[in-house]
Amino acid sequence: MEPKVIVVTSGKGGVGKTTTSANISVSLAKSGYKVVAVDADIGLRNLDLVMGLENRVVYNFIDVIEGNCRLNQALVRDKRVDSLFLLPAAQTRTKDAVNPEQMVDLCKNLKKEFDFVIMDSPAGIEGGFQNAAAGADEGLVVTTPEISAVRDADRIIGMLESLEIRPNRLVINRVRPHMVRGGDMLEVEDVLDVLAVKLIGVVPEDSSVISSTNSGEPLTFGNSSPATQAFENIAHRLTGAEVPFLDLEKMNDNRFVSGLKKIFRFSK
Amino acid sequence: MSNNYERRGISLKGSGSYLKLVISETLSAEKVWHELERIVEEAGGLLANVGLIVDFGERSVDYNFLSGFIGDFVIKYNLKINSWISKNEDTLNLLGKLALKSSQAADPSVRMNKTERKTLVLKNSLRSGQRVEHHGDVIVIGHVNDGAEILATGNISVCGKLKGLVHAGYDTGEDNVITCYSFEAKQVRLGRKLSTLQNTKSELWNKPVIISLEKDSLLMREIEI
Repeated sequence: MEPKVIVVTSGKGGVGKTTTSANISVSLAKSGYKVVAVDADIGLRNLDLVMGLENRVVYNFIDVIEGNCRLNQALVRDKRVDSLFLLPAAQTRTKDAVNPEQMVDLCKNLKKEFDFVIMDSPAGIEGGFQNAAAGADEGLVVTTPEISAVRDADRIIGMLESLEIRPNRLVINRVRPHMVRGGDMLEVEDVLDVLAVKLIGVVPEDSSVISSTNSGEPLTFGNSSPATQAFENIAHRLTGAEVPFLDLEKMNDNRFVSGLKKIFRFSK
Repeated sequence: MSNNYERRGISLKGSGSYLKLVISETLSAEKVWHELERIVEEAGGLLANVGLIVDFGERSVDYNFLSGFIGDFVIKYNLKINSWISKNEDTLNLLGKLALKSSQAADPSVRMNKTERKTLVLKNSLRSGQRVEHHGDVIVIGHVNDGAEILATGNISVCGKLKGLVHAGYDTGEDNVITCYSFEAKQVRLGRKLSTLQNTKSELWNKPVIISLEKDSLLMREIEI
């Protein structure tokens, strides 16, 4: 398989780009691929925290671009999975510290070393996004089933297409089946109808995402929640595997039944 | 509209009678020649049929660059240059010395021949943030998504869903119409009239409609064929 640079983007903030980037990076690495997760959110870095690698960051990719260190000095190897690396962003610089041409060169160098380069883009459509997308081969657009997020995703897909980045595939994050059922949340079909791009995964709302973020341990390291399975499926689809989509309704019912079982176990 | 050339430091903007070729000041001379060759190759005969406005922006253009541009690009591909734009004083001086017509306000949409009305056919959907301005009629073979905009001096016809903003007849307006296959927009504009739709439970929501001006009011009705 050809090495790929995949930009994870959304337009709107807070929809789960960094969580998605971390989880699919871990899952791909666990499947044996050599993966680097690049935090392209210069000045507001988070990916190191979500991946639990913040203590080991010494250099960042601005240091690489400015020639202060070699690429392999800035890469942080994840000790939990040998083939997983993080290339952190600079926290004390701004988006202007790098330009698209430099990002293209960086991506070319990373593709020589890695099977997958997962580029975690900042929110917005300005310079930060332009830099993150500059060297990308494919786009992973993350949205939530809200009209504001969907409109922003539409904008970002248009921009990715104008940058000749294809295919762009969609992750619909934080879906709450009971709200969809009650007509209070957009259905997956509604989102797809507007955005007209291929769906790569639907991730249910899951409280374990918050605890995993705070503990610096992405779900795909071993959690068995519904969101974990959804992220793992997305990672497998990125490798070209055909994986059926989760039945969120069924999962929801199963969780309800298992919850009832627990209650009855305690009451015995 | 944005286009695929912008990523490479050279953009080609406008439609109809004029095209503006914008050359980024950050692009090296070597890359400029390379990208110009590529643009000619990708644009095919399009460039030869329209007047070009060359915009050097802040770039400081010297005689060697300009003579290379004219010889290796303009003459070689038999192009027609309508005017030159620059914000750089040295470049403007050079253009002046060579008596090349320079202009600061050569916006293609403004300079377009107002008597000439052409139909612009867009063969894809317009996504949020994409904006089309056209002197003449516009036909969209696709959807106009929420956040996209079309301004046309003529009629606008959308073969898919109309969710974004369309303004037909924006400079003259009276006799123009807007049609769409599925009406899902919160606002439409025709000539100097604007109409907002607050209630998505309207009978016309999701229906094929035609919007026209009648007795100085916007009239929307279902298309029945």
